[in-house]
Amino acid sequence: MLALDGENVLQVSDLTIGYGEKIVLENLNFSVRRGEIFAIMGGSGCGKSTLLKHLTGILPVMSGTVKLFEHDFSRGELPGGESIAGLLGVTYQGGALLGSLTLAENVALVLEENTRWSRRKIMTTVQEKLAQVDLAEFADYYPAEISGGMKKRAGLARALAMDPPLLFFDEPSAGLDPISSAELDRLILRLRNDFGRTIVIVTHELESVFAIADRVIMLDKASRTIIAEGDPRVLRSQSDDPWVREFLNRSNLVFGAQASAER
Amino acid sequence: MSENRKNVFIGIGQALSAAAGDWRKTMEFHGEVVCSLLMLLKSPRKLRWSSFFYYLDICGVLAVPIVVLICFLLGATMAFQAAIQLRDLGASIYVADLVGFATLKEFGPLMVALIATGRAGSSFAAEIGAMKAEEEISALTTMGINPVRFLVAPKILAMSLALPILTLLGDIASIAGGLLVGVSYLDLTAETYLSRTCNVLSPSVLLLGILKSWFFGIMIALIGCREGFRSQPDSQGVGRAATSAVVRSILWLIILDLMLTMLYSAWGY
Repeated sequence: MLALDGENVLQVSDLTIGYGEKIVLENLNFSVRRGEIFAIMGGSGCGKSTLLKHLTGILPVMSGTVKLFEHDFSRGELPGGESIAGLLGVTYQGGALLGSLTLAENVALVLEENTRWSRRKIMTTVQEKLAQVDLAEFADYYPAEISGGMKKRAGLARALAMDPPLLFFDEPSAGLDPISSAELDRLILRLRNDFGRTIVIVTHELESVFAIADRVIMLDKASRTIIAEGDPRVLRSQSDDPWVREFLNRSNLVFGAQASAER
Repeated sequence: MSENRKNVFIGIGQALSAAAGDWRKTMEFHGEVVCSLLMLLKSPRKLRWSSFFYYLDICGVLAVPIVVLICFLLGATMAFQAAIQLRDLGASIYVADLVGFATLKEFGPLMVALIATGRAGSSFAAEIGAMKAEEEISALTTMGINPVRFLVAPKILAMSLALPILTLLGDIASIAGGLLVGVSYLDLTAETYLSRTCNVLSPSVLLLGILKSWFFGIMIALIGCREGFRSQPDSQGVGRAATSAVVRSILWLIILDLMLTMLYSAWGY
């Protein structure tokens, strides 16, 4: 079992990421503190989801380091071949549930593959996790039989299965109506407040960010790096960068188009 | 050097570099598959047996009718073609030799493999490609599950078991097709035809054909899965992966068949 020490749950230093030879983002430096809700924001195509793939070990970094609880995770592997499922959970835009398995089987899969628990204990945990996201009644449904919002919640139940201390959300509000989106925001807040989890969200939904995020970083496509970092409510009015203020205020779209063109 | 000529060289260089990169990734994939299979050999509990039986059903049981039908028709066609030539020479009985040898040594394993390529190879590529597009592969990784062990190993094991059995059934069906023509067109008795077939065919011929189909099964599954993993994560990419899986599998089937035939010949079979 790996030690989960340190104030910083996630530490990114001099990180350069991309696909093959192509650099998407470079010189990234930031850290996520224990128990905070941290948002990664930026315009479309700036590399938010690519960054998430590198932070969760799906893609190897080009250079720099990613540390999870002080352990080097730059190559997507933990020391001693430890499974990452106990350390981090990820929910994807569309849920990314396995279509051939029911919701219960999807959640159970993580436990079957990462623990030596009895069938009974696994099924009890599955029911518990599905209940946490209000899907206990849908345990035997297949992903194709439920709505987009339910898929996201089922994906969250699966991410929570191993009780990881760090959770990543990729565009949690995308494609949801305002009510479902607000429900999901409340659920994320509950996970942090009641269970002490650290949460990293990739999003461009401003309402969600202002409602739940403690800190944000803003990524910029043109400069391929972080252009702002801090409390979103402060950045909205006090950022040095007019584009950041414009983005967070979503005001004056004509000026916005001009500013974007100038960048 | 003119600009056009420079561009040609740059284009060739880029194409070679891309091909080398692709080749390296394919080798890495094969290495991962071997490691996964070795790991499963050590702890079979780690194999998803439900997936294995699912693919055995899809690739094996459900393919039986089409394999039997096509091989039966192929055997009858071969017998007809041979009968036209041999009857004039008064050597009709040799139709049994020709159909038997051609089926067991060559056409049985190859035809069954081609059917499996169309059915299983393309479906493996499309399935994995669609999973990649839906981020299910990424989800597996972040759940601490090796996608190759989880997705590829059951398919390879199912294909390596299904194809030899299908080939055996295809061989029987093909000989039955030849028998039908022998009896109905050449006036041979069923007993004569079958005893001739049994006399000329040794068990080793049958077993070597089955061994070929074992290699074919593994190869079709490997190519199908690899094409799925290398697909672009969108609907067009999935379609292209399925097509590519079929085309590459057919090409490599013919090449592997030639290599195995040469190897068997060198061993005196």
